This record gives sequence, C-alpha cells and structure tokens, in this order.
Amino acid sequence: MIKLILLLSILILFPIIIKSKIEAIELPITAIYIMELIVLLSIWTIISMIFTYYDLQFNKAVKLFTIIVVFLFLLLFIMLIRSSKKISFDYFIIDEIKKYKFEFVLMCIIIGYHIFRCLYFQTIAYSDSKTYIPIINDIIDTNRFFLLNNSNGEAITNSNVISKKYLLSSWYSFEATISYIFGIHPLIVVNTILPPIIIALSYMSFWLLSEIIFEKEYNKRFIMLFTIGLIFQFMDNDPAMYFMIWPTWGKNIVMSITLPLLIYFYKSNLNYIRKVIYMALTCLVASFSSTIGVIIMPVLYMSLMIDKCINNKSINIKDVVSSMIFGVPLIGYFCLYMLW
Amino acid sequence: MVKNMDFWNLLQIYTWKNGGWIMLYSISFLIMIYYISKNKQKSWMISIPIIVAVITFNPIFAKLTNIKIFPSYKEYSRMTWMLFIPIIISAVITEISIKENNKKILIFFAVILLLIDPTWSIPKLVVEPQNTSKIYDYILDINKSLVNDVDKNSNYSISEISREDLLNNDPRPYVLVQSDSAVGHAGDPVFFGIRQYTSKVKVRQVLIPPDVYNSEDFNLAVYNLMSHQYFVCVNSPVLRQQAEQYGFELIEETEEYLLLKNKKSFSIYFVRHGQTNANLEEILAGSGTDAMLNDEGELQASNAGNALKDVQISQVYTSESSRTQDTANIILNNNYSSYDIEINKISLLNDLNWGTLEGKSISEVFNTYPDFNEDTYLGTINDSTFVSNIGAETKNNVVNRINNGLCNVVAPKALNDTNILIVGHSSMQWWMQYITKDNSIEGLDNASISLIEYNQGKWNIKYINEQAENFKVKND
Repeated sequence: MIKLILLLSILILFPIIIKSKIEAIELPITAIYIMELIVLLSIWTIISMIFTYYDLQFNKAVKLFTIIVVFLFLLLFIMLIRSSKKISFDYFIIDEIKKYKFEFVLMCIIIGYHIFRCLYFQTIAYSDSKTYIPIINDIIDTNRFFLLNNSNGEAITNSNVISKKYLLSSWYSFEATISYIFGIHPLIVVNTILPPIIIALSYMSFWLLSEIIFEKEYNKRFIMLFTIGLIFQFMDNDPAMYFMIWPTWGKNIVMSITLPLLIYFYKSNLNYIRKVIYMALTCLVASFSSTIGVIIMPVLYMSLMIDKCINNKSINIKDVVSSMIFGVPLIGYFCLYMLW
Repeated sequence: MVKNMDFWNLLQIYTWKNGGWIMLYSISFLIMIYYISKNKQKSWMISIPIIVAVITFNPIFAKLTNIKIFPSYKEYSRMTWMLFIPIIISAVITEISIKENNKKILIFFAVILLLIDPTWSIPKLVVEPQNTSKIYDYILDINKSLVNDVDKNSNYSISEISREDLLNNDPRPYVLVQSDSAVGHAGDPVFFGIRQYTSKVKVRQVLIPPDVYNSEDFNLAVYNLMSHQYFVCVNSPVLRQQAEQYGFELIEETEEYLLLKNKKSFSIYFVRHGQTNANLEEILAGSGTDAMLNDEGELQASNAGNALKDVQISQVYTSESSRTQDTANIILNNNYSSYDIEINKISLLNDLNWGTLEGKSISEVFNTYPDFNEDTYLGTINDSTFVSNIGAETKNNVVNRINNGLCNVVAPKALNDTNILIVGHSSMQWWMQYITKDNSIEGLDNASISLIEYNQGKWNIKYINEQAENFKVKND
C-alpha cells in the first residue's frame, strides 16, 4: 500500500511540475492527468496484445511495461532538470475559485459525494464484475493471459473459449498489472482503489469539455460539472450505472473519459501533430477498453468532421489525413480480431 | 436482430425508464438551439447528436452493426451515449441559472429530477461495505479458509502449470457451491465471490432451494457432491448433516454459509465378470442379453476370488446382469472377511445396450456394417452430442452413467478407508479412459482385477486389467 501511495503522489505531483516547467506542454493540467492514464494504457495495450497473442508470461509483460514507463519518466525528469523555468502555479485558477466560491463548492460537493458513494457503498449485484474481476484474478494467479474460463475457472478448451472481446481488451490486464505491481488483491484495487481515481479523471474530462462549451466562464463550468454529477445521480440507465456504481468498467472509461476527451482535442487549438497523436492515443485506449469504443470512436470522429465541414462549407485536407492516423488503432483492432 | 429501427422507440426502451427524461432532454435540446443562435461555437452540441442519430439509427447501419459487430441489441443502444444527454441538459440548466443569476434554479432542477426518477440507485443496488474487497464478510471468510486449505495441501503452483498440463491433468480442486435461488445476471454472491477471489479452485454451482433440501427424501449425493473436493452451502443443518454423513468435514462456519472438505477415501476392486458363451462365440451381449457364466467363467471367477481372499471387503456392487452377480457370489465365497455381505445391484453399472446389434455375432455385424468400429457407431467418450445410428447407447452416455453410479451411489455410501468390490462389464474401460485421459486403455479381460482409489473426490487408477495370478503375485 505504501508503494501505491508513493506512486500516486508522484503521479499527482508530476503533471503539476511538468506543466510549470515545460513550455512545450500546451495542455491544461487536467488534460495532463488524463494523458498520464492514456499513455500508460497505450503502452500496456501494445505490450499486452503481443504477449497475449504469443501466450507469453504476464510477469514478463509487467517487467517490460515497468522498464518502458520508468524510462519515459526519466526522460521527462531530465527535461524538467534542463528546464530553466521556475515552478509556478499560474494555471491553477485560484482567482476564479475565489470569485465563484458558491459554484466551486457545489461542484466539489457533487464530486466528493460521488467518490464517497463509490468508496463507501458496495453493490449487491456483481453484474459484469463477475466476469471482469475473475479475468483479472486469473491473469495474476496463472501468470498468463486468458488461461481460464472466467465463469467457472476451468481451463480454456476449443469448446470452452473466451470471447474475443475480452481477449482484445487491455483494460482488465492493466488492472491486473496494478494489482500485481503493488501486491494488492484485485477486488480491493477494482472496488476501492481505482474508483476514486477514475471518477476524478472522468470529471477532469468533463471539465475539459466544459472549456469547449463555456471557455473562460468558470462559474458556468463549475455549475455544469455540478449538474452533470446531479444528472448521473438520478439517471437510472446504463451510463449512470457504470459511472455511479461500476466506474472501473471499460465501458465507463469510454463514456466518461475518452468521449469528452476526443471532443476536447478535436475542438482545441493545439499544435496539429500533437493533436493527432493525442486523438489517436485516445482512440487506441477507447478501442481496447471496451468493444463499444471501436464503434463509438470513429462515429463520433466522423460526426465531428462532418459538423466542421458543414460549418466551414469545405473539406479540410488535414482533417482527412488526421482521420487516417486516427483510424490506425481501429485497423489494428480489426486485424487482431481477424487473426484471433 | 434489430426489428424496429425506430429512434424514439429505441430511446424509450433502453435509455430511459420513463418519458420524463425524454421530455427533459427534448426541452433542453430546443432551448440549446436558442443559445446556439447566440454562440455558434456550441452548435456541435446539436449537430453531433443529429448526425449520430442519422448515421447510427438508420436501418442500414443498424442492421450492419447489429449482425456483424455488436454482440447484442444492448450494445447497439449504447450509441445513444453520443446524444450527450447529461451534457446538453446540464449546459442548458447552467445557462439558465447563471443567466438569470438565480441559484434557486439549481434547487428547482434537483426537485424536478426527484419527481422524474425518485428511485435513487442507492436503496436499490447498494449497501454499506463490510470490507475493502466489497464482497460480504462471510464470503471473504469462506474464501480465506478455502485458499489456506488449498495452499496447505497442494504441492504445485498454478502459475507454473503449462496450458497442456492444465487441460490434461488439472490438479486444482473442485468446489461445489450450493445456492438457494437463481440470481441471473446479478451473479450468485458466493459462487462469483469465490471466482473473484481466487483462481486456485474450479467452481461449480448447484441450485438446491430450501423447499428441496428440507424435504423428507432429499439426498445431497445426487448433486454429484462426491466428485468435488470442497462443498460450500448455506448454513443449514440438513445440508451439513448430509455432507458430513458422506465424508465431508467442516472447515469454516459462518452465520450464513459453511465450507466443508471431502475427507473420504476408499478403494474399489473392480472385477470384470467371468467368461460367458457370448464372449466365447464373439456375440455382442450387452445389457439387453443376460448371458450366464460358462464353466470357464466360473473358474475365472474362482481364481479372482482366490486372489482377493485376503482383501477385507465392506460393500459389493454389481450390475443387474446375472453374470456379474454370479461372479460376485463366487468371489465372496472365497473371501475370508465377507460374511453376509449384501450384493447391491445397480442399473447404473449395467453394460451398454448394443441397440440393433444386441445379440449379434461379430461376423454378422461386419457383414452388415463392414466399416464397423466403436468410435464410428458408439461415438467417443467425450462426445455428448453423438447419436448412434444403430440405436446403441453411446460411449459418452455409458461413461456418464457409470460415473453417476460411482459418484452418486457408491461413493456416498462407502465407509472411509474400506475396500469395495464391484463386478461389472468391459465398458468400464471407457470410464477408466475418461478418468485417466488415456485412450490407450484397451479391453478388460474376463475376471481381470483393477484397483481404483478414491481420495477426497478424486479417482486414481492404481492398476488395470491384472490377471488373478499376477495380482496374487503382486500382493504376496
């Protein structure tokens, strides 16, 4: 647990320092936090797909992943040391928070309540967790990807196969990685440790979306997040269930993190190449978190493009090019789907 | 298959439980159009849902994705996530409350939500957690005791077992989990509580409602209890008493559930019946033909009895055929320890029925079916779908029947650490192939002796098809 707390502290502080010292980082601080997860998941997706396909050992995949992540952190660390810029917290909207205290407090209440609800209450119905958590457990215990049937624990045979949608999901093996690295049981990781992190990242994603809608009207942005949280609290349907009760399911990662993030990146004024890379990584993570991501991502992207074409009354070549790059993870997904 | 591509029908069925949300969304949508006229940057909030609706809810796309891509209709309905229901409603509420500088709007909105959907998720689906794993304490206790016991008694690490070994010889124990009622999609709390906790066991579920296990003629053994190493059941005196009667020992007791471990062990001396004239004349005499022992068969049975004379036999089972009963009687006559042992005849140990070939000689069979072989006409031992075109009982059926007899009749009644004599037929070799996963086991000679050991839910075949003379030598 101490290792986990230490790592979380690093993950929380690192973006703040990066944002302060590295001028090239144009992203808002909340986007950097989300991109931490996106980058980690992207690296893991590539590693886990290779290891799954060749039926290699899980602990070796984790070792490789750790080496790559540590290497990237070291690179960033070197960039931080070489940067002469002083650490500042200009991007923390302290003045706006002081100005719109009521709205900010309302937003914090709903987010805090949401996290409290997820942490403090347990579901009496396992629902899809009865599939996902055994998958995670089995990966750790057997030290291999998908050796056992998730329902009864029997070995996989030709007539007892595991569905391709699970084989092609790296999110669950990522949760297994977290559990394995920190030596914490998957039940605790999935039900207690990850939910507040995912919920916080989800609200960060909605915060980015609010920037597209309300720009610098921070009072409106605070209220928007408050009302989003309130609506999910009352909605009694699939998206609300995932967000409020099972936030660690892949479908929720698609819905509450990657969908708003994609809209944000598309509509933002970021450097073109970086924007395309961010969007491609977001698509990669969405596709390999849940099957629904494979369909929703291209449809949303296509809809955003069509909307832009209609508004501008012209087709942007850059958009066409970026859509091809955006589609690479999807092509990769379908190739793997056919191969398996 | 999507039968009705109707957009509003889809939304009503899968996205909202009542029309209140549809109205709220529709009104918000219209108000958003007004705000977009002031700020075109927000136009995507209207145009994207419209474009998404046109693309995904038209019949062509719906049919294509539903057949080829989405596993179910429910997945397809998740395209409604891109209608941005919470985002549009929240953006409109935000604009109104800020514009009017009236924070009471937010409270009013919260009241509207309560009116639309007063069924908060909290009372329905969630309770206070008992621990950080968020499975009930009693399930956690059962799991911990189960894993401790498995670890104590296993000399393997599941992470070091290869895929092939896991398929052919999985050493992990089986747990039978009893449930009072079927729980469907929500998932049985104990069954999946174990699966979510550990991979060190394989789990099977059995539904035994209280009105069944509290009935007078309830017999726990028929639920294949004896094939399992562990049994998890509700804390019922009936279930506990029967499990303990069948050789299970209590490991963990919670207020709600019990964990019991199979501690029974015994040995089966299996003897194939002595020779009959049907064997001599190569006639297919299965359960439909009650062939009797000939002189040679009686001598063979006597030799087998001699070989087993020092074995202390506690129980005897045969099939319903005379040849097995006669063989058993001869064996018992030679046995020093078996005084007045009753022979239990059970149909589950009967020979297979050869269908239209019953009573026919081998040569007649080959004349009619030149390509005759067992696999082609009786199927393989693992093929549960095979149907014999000669009306014979399939190998898979015979194996299941014998397994049923051994696990659900013989094993429960067996006394711990005793020897049981079973006199049966050559079809027993298929059950032995099934247990050992060794298809090279072929043929059981008349009056041959095989030793099968049962230890805590697992069968082990010590030796197969030993002749009486060799057996005597082996045990001298």
